[in-house]
Amino acid sequence: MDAPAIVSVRALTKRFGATLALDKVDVEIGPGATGILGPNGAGKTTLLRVLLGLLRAEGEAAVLGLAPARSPRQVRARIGYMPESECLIPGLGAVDIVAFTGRLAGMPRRDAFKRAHDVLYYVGLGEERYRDAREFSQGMQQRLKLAAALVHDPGVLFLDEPTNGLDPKGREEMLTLIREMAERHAKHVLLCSHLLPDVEQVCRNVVMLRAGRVARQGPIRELTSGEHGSWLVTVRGEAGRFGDALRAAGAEGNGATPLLVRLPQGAGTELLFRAAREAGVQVRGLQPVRRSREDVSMDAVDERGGPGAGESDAG
Amino acid sequence: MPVDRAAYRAWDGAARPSAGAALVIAGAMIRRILRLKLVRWLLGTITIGVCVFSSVIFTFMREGRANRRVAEVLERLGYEQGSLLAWANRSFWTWIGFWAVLVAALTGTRLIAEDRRAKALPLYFSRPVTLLDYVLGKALTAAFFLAVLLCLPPVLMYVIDTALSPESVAVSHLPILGRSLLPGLVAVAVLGSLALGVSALCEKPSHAAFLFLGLLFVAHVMLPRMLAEHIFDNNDWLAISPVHCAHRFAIELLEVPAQVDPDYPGMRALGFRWAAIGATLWTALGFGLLVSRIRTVEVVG
Repeated sequence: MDAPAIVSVRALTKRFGATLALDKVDVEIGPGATGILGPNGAGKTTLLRVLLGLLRAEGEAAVLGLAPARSPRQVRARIGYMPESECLIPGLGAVDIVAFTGRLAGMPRRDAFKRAHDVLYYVGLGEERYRDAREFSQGMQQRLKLAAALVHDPGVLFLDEPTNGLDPKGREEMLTLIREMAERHAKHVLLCSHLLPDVEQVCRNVVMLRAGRVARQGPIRELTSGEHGSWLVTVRGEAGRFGDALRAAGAEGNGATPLLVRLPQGAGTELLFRAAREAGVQVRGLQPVRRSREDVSMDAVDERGGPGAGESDAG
Repeated sequence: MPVDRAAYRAWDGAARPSAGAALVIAGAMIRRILRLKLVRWLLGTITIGVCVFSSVIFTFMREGRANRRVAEVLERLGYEQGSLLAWANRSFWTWIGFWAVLVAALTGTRLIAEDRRAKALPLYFSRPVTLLDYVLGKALTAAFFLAVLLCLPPVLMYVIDTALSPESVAVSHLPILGRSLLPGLVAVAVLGSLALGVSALCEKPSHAAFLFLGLLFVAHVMLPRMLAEHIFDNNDWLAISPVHCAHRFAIELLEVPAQVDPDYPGMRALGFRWAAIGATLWTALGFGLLVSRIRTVEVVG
């Protein structure tokens, strides 16, 4: 990763009593939009709270080069956080809540109210901005929380399950707004979700958490394409010899044709062609194994005994 | 709900995160609570009542005015003309205690319980707000409403007294104003901190209000009687109640004649020392509950 890391985490460990919420997490998150994908209890929310300096944890964490444990106020001033929970002050109108959060971030009163009106229009609550937030539907509350996260124009957005409780149209609009934040307004977005399609629609990179550990991280297209090392290979000649040559080179092949070949970590397709040359076969077809969203989601959920693995309130 | 994509623009202002987060919190909370009709009605009625009461007192009971006979009656009862303002303040302190408890139950107890119920704590703590800012903001809110009830009336009485007095008394009556304000400040600290402490324990404002009233019932009625009559056999202990700590300051400072307070013979004997100890202990209990609970809530919530 060439660009400076927005979030950098080394050996981060967080326990809640007997529950291990984060287990030696190593993550490096670059600019742009990144998804934190994982089932409930995977440690997504805990990770965000550690990055905000709300929780103390073992290991090292830095946001924009600042350590949340040592400089929580400086870190939080640069972040817009949209929590998963309801998190609205009862008895205040929408514009009052958004302006209030802006003022808490250090904005002058006049600017806070002006920005509050602007961002409420931006998220589609312009006509409802004087209504009591308690009267809002869940979808409207999600938009309001996004507005509150945006009001002080932070460089980094932490969004925790922003599409929870939204109908398909609302979900689409919310994801469009978030993507636009990353692409048009150059915000660095950390999007926590248990839904791969949401992450896929907004983010270029993904960190998959499972039971407090990083299951996988990297560009999101690698998760659903063959670039993670699996290929379907059609050969002309003796497939068995080709399989032997592949195994000798450290790859896995099933022996039938077309062969399902899994390349070792870090190896490219040149290894395939070298093995083919050695086995005296001709490669006639080479196709990356495309994995369904369900496969990828199950990867995050299932490896340690299904969604319940590591289930806790840490998520 | 049409989205206006052009509405989002970069903000080029300078944020100053350290600038008065506690005041921002207090301002928002005060505005929110003032939306409650009952609170507005209570505070308004009592403030207007005090103004009317003191206007009547200072107009008709002052020496040389039409109602001299009333003043003479009061003088025979032990109230001197020169301390009419002190007398008015003492009268205020004989009946304000109940209302102060009620206002604390209506305002202070909801401040943190509502945040906990709405899971709004991350809203504060994900901004550059410290635990101290939060506690101070909430404490200022509770203090504001109690101060309107307990400190504003003595100030109004002093202003009305000064305005209606035929001679200039602004300077000479200033010490009486000071003595009138001190019990109010003690009551604000004691009741405000206890209300906030109880508020941090509950998730429903109504539960917090009832718990607060229950705590005061125990601390004001049951605990002092138990200590005085069954454990120490000494009536001085009757004065340990949180409400009477402030009340005793008022009585001592404003020189209430002993007969005004027949139920609490221990008060005058104990004096300031025990009042100060009692007030400090109750205030510490309130803030202790608040801070310990909020720290836990911040982590868990």
